[in-house]
Amino acid sequence: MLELEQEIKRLVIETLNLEDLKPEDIDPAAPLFVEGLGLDSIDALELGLALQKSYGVVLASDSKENRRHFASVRALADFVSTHRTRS
Amino acid sequence: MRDFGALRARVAGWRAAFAAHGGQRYALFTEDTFDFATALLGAWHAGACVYLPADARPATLDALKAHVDGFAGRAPQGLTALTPAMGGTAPAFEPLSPGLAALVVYTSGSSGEPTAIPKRLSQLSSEVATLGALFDAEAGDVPVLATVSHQHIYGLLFRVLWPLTSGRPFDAHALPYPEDILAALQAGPGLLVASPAHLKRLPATLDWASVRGNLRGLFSSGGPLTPEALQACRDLLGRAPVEVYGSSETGGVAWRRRDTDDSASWRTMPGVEVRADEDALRVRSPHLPADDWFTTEDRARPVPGGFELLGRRDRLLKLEEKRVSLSAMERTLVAGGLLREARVLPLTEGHRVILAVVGVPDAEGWRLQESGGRRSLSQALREKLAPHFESSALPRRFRYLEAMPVNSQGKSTEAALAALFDPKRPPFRVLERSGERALLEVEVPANSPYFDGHFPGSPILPGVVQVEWALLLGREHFALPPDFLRLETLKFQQVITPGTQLTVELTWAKESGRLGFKLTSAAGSHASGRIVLGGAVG
Repeated sequence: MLELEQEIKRLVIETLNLEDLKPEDIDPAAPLFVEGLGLDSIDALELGLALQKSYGVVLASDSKENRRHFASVRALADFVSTHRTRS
Repeated sequence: MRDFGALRARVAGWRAAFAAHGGQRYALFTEDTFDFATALLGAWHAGACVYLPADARPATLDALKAHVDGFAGRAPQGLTALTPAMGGTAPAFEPLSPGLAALVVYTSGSSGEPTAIPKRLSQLSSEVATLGALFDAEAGDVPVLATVSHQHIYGLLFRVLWPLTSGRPFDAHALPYPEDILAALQAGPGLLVASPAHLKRLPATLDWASVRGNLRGLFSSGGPLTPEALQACRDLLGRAPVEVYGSSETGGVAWRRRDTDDSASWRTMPGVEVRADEDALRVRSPHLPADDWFTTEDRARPVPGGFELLGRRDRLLKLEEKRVSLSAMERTLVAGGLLREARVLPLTEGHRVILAVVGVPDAEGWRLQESGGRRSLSQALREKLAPHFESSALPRRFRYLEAMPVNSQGKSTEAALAALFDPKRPPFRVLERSGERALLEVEVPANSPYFDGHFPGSPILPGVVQVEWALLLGREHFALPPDFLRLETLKFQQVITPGTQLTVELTWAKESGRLGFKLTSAAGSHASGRIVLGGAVG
């Protein structure tokens, strides 16, 4: 799980081209959006696409559910590990 | 010292050279103002239009090839520059036609690509007549000294055309450093045509008091004069400069001299009309090509006899369907500390447009960056903006510099600012810095485009890139002159592979114009050398 968290941190940094940020700077439990990393809804879209490409996960059409998955790196790792169709 | 006879003879030589060549349009770039003035007059008497490139960079000159029939002074590689014909008897000069398409200058505008601005001779002569009417009496017949280049409209008018018309001598060489200004004024009285960039950097350690009596007039134009620069002029030079407000498009519009009143308003020049429509300053004047109202980029409030400037008109941008004021964001960034100056610019990344900040930190800002890295300062700035702007509009990229990158007219162009975000630029951290030395930790990213194909299977950082990085990082930490002259004592001792943590030591010897660099890492020395630079500092 820790390894997947690391992978997702790298994916977030690369996909969103985040400046001056290393994986170890991201607290896996911290919120990704607004406060915390300060990501926005367009970042969420980009990140969703990247997750789909890397792990074959498909986001639900339920936005409340998605908000929960995208809450933090840890939540994303949980979501990916249970829904991935690609390794 | 050359007299009017020498000037006349050289003009005749240039006229003969242009006439023999037979073109209609010529580019002119030269450092020497005597050469410049005589070539300009020679071209006009040959009926040709003169294009003035703002600098002599190869790309600038190459771009002009499509527009001109030949080059005088500097020519692009592969072409020969025209030179004045020598000797021979010169036919008499005929008066020039006011309608002559005399000149094309390029905007120094802070945004976008430079635009060509054509000027008829009548526009230039009415500018010069205005300057004469306003300042001739006070200026007397002392020589004109200048820190600015004659390749731009301000220098062209003030250090060439006005002195020629009023019969005042002018110095053929620009004074790039404060020490040069001091030495020139120690030699005798003069008028100084200066840029705010120079006036802002007058060292208090020089003996200005000894030359105050010789400084008979002081002019500042090309950009706003900061309160600090104004105070430095009063304290060190003993007088406030005549500030001239205008642009390459409008020519001179207004002037003022803030001897005691810091907020004195601008006085409209004779013959010029101004009005403010919805705050936007509009101008109608004989310095413009047509008798129409020209809308400037500035906001103004009319007052009797002139106007007050209220700052630039708002730069608005639509970002993900939301309107963002870049000007308001810049104001918020500098409010309450951390940054002394800030510029916000849009960058296209992938398929979205993001905002980027170029900032000049104050002492507290540098402290924050030195203790917690660039990210701490960027985060603090984002937090400062967060209450006022949509989260999707918050800047994503930040670059911190000792001073804004300025061209020789003291303007920070959008292109120069955007170049700071080029992925080819290495990420770095400042370890130590002073006016003469900077020690940087530079990362050599494994994904740097410079490793592509150099060489397949065994990537190493090209030597030219190492020199390029030294120069680029040097420009961010010291006010370097614009022109690269040559390299000295260049040594490459060890290859640099992807992922190397370099320590880059830069030393700047202003007097000799040499930027020294030393690239080392845990593995030892990689490269060292000196870059020799020259030309006027903005």
